[in-house]
Amino acid sequence: MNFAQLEYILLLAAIVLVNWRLQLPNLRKAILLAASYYFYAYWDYRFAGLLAISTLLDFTIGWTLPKVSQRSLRRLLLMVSLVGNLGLLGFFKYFNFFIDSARPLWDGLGWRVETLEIILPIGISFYTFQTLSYTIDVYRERIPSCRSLVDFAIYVAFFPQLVAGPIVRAAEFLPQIERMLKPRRETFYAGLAQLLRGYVKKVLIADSLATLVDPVMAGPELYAWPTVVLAVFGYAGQIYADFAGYSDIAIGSARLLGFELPENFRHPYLAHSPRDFWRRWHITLSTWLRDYVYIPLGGSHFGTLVTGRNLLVTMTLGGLWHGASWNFVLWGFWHGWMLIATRRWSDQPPPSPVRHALRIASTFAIVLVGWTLFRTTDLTHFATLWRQLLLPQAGYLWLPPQPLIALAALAIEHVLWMTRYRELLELKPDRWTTPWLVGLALAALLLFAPTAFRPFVYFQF
Amino acid sequence: MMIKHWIIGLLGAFLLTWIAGRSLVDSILVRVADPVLQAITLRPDDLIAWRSEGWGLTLVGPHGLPGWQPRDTDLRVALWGDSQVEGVCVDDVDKIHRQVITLAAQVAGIDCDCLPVGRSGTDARDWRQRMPIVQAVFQPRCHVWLITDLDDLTALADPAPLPPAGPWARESPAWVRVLAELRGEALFSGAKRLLLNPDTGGLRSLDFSLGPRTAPAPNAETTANSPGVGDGEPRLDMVTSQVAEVATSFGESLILVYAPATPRIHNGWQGSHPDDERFETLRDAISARGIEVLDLRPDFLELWNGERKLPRGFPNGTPGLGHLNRDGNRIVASRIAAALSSRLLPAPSTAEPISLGNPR
Repeated sequence: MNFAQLEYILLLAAIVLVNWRLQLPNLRKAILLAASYYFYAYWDYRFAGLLAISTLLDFTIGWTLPKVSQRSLRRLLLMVSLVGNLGLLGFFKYFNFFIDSARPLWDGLGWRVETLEIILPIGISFYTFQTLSYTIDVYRERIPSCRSLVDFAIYVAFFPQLVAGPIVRAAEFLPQIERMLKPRRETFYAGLAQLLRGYVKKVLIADSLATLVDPVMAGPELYAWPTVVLAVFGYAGQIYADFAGYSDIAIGSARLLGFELPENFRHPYLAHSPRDFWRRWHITLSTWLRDYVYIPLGGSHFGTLVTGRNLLVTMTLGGLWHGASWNFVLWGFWHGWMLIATRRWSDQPPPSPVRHALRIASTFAIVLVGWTLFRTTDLTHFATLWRQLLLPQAGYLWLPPQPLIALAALAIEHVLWMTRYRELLELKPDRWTTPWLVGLALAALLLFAPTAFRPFVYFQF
Repeated sequence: MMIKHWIIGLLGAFLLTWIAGRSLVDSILVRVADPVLQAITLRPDDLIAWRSEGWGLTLVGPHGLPGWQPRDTDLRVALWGDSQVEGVCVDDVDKIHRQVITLAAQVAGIDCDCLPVGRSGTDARDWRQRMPIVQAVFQPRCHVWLITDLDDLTALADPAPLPPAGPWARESPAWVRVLAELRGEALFSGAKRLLLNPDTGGLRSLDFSLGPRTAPAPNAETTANSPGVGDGEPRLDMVTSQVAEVATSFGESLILVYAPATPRIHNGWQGSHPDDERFETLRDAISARGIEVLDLRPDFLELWNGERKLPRGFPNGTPGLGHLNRDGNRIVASRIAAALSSRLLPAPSTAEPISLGNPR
């Protein structure tokens, strides 16, 4: 089910109401679990079984680990989880990619190896990382194992964040399920406000920008230079508003049910260095990669060369996590290199406003180049886009107003965020401007939302 | 105190939307019965703002003909088609019928009038049915069928009875007129978006069934191919004979203009159209019966090759898709004007035309 569907809003309203009215925590848990599986099965019921298998595997291993003291056996259990989870992910997401990428090898060996028609189960990359982190944390004895299968199943399948995050750690979420607190009035209001902000970002900004970006990126050589430049900036705005909007809706929905999910975005385009960018962009994935890949590789403790290698490996794997395509790999590699290249940049923003602005602009330029790798389908497409950017040919000049307004609105929102007017955007209930803004946002959603169905960009990952 | 803030704020926002809505969303179309044309038409003298794809203003003329200002001439042309003839996204001066008048005067020195009698959502069956009345009322010398989707023409061979005329089946209900008077465009548009399915136009339905389901691709293009269309020669033969029959009934005064959505660039370059082969078969068969068929595909291609412009699409829409824009209308009008120059020679009229209303 897509958050932007009317069906989702009705389903959420019903679950919130039931959750609010019912007193028995166990019954509320059962309803929450059933709703989460229904939410997933709405897309394809067959893959709900996969979700259940992944849940059972890690619940069982997590249950067993504390009972086992023998180091080798504990390692074996961990390996079973890793192989099981990554095996499923690898098969569904990367099997065809590796078969195609190794085609010269198969041909050289004279083997006839064919790709399979595999449907990628929605959200598999997200819930796999969640279940893996749970087992690794139990193995490292950082968290106790979960004793309730229902609690663990809710942790894995919790519908607001099931298909595209935020990636939640068991340590953050399992205690909330155990308590099953109902939302306080302030939390409930904050949830509604965040839900509204999410819908504005997704429907009004991201989907409006998509009406420009999708056609232009399908054939950049056919469009005039200003249109292509606008589409490149538009994509940066689209992917941010789409994913941050999704995260806002997820966090807002969870709040309505009494749960707190971790923050996933903090105005990443205001970052003053690539390192700062990754502290603001898809925060739950960045911290996951930091804790479960970068630090185990040695982090930054073994000199410049090893640190550089670790950054490259971590970011390249992060790129590959996004999709089975060389473009994503190169995108991750690009960010890895940029993290290495800008390691001398101070962790703090420069004191001079001009230098600070220049740093933000430089970081944004680095990110923008990365997005062109991310958005194009292959290297030929990437080259075509850059040829039209650097050596433009005559093409169709198209400057659509609604995407332009959406881009301007996003820029203004970022500027406001740096000033004292950010309070306006927080939609605090006691401010006289909030009802006006809420009313106008609802009206704009109703009147100007593009009618074409546009799935969230991150659903494909 | 906070509740008061919220009530005032939400009401204020609602009011602001109501006021701003009239310039930001499409006007409410009020349809009334026209006793002369014996049809449901747009309400004369209404000023309609188009805001969906391109921004334009239309002043509805006598008999509900959009953008029409009667001219003092008996050299009239009836222009049939769907919403492309209404020119729903452009100002009146850029509509096809207005450009035909201008270009016919410029190219051939002909002082003619062009009547935009087509209506949105209709096909050749509707045009054929209404032609006798239009002929009796306006006595056009020539009828032009503007075919922008080949299925609008091949519908002639559909044995099923003419489907209900959709919004043209009856007058607008009283509440629509009241809402139009109150300039409640925002409310009307919001309710329509909430309640109607944007793809079908029918009431929105909710689907809570389990998958598997595949999400429609963004920007999925609907290539309208009605069942049975393109099944072979017999069907196209029927279309040809029906067209010939219409042409004969109206004194060989029928011109067909084919202006499909080509070229397109929204999914990469597409210089051809899926209907090309079917059209060419039809064109050859219809031309063989002595009926003039104007194929605008080369003109549209030339527009792209020469100026990197497209005949369809607006800033708010998708390039190359949707309604004909000003450039597309100009090309259509110029070809029609050129074809008319040989036909619109003065001839004695056989009957007094019925009053067409006051020229504006």
